[in-house]
Amino acid sequence: MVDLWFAGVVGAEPSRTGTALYTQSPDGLFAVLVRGPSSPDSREESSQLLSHYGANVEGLGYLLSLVPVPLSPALERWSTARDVPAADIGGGEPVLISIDGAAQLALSWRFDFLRAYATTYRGDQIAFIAPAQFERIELTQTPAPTAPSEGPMSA
Amino acid sequence: MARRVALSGVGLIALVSISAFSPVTAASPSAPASGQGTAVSTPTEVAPYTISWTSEVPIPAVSTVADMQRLQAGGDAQIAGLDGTNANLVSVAAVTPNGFILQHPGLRRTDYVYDSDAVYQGTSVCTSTCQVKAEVKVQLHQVAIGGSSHTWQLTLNMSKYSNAGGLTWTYWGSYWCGVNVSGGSDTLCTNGAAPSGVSMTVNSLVNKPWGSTNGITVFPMVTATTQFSNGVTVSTKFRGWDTTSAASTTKLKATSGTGA
Repeated sequence: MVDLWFAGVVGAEPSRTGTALYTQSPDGLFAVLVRGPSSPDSREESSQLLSHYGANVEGLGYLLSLVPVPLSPALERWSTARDVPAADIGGGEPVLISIDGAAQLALSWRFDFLRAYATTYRGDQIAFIAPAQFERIELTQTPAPTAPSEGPMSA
Repeated sequence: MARRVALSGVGLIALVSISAFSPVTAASPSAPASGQGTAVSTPTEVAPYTISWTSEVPIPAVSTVADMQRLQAGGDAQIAGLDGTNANLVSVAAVTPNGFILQHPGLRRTDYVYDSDAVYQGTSVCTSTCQVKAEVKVQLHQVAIGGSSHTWQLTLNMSKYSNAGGLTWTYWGSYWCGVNVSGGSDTLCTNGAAPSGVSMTVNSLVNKPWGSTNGITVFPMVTATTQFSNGVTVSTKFRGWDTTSAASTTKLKATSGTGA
């Protein structure tokens, strides 16, 4: 599993919340969550892929809520107090993004001033968030942020 | 009266004899709630000893031994080593000896989201007062994906709360899946469920399928453990919210077993 991050985002280096990377740049909030290799549950629940995508967006928003960073009201509600099945995130808008230079199909949902995305890439489930006006989504592999010198040795 | 007390340091345990040491009375339901009277020795008589604890509330940076006893007597904290025998290399017992409980009990936010209340795990060094060396905040977040999915998305949040002692630590989780059997003994999940008794990643989204059996009530169980660099290990057992396993309408039940 590798970390992915946005190309072309100007500002601070990404920080980590849980296993997600994020930054609050002058352009807005950017965040990426790579869920690791597809686990047996995702294969067994392949018919539930939309549900899992919805839950991945929810989980990324939840990790961001712990920081906390400002989420849009709709995304905050989805991420912390969803009251419908995750599949009710809706069908999503298919969009082409780029990962490591290769075109990739993703689904996208508008949450007020933020837009959430989900896709599957090389067996990893990926969710990410960007400002709604940010149109050119290019993700590339990135080194992980360094661990703190005190406190948890591992997590 | 001479008494042997284990002193601890990082990677060092030494046995010494201490005279005229009147140890703190081990906390128990019958212990004086105030901790007054015979409970506390004068500071000059007490060699430092290490305690470990898991608490429903943050422990202040400095507490009297009596305060710690009150927390234990009131059921707000479980403490090991408060009798002066050192908690090092001893795990604090689960909040209940026999199993996992809804912590505090937490909040069922919606049909799909349950959050436990926070639990604080830590280690202190006591003489006449107890000084917190490090404290970790732990919380379980449980999400039922819902609809036809038979999967929870779990997040075991473990983070530094305080670290006055400059300790390092490692924390980890373990996962089990239970079937709530009304009027009988609960069983482990089967039929394609994620295995029980396995490690679970901390501070990450973890998907755990409970199996394809419908018409049953299932619940997750997670142990959160922190091992501090002074040798103290603290574990807490979290029970998740009861969940209805159904063909197309999986969700959290309106009420849940508590495990208590």
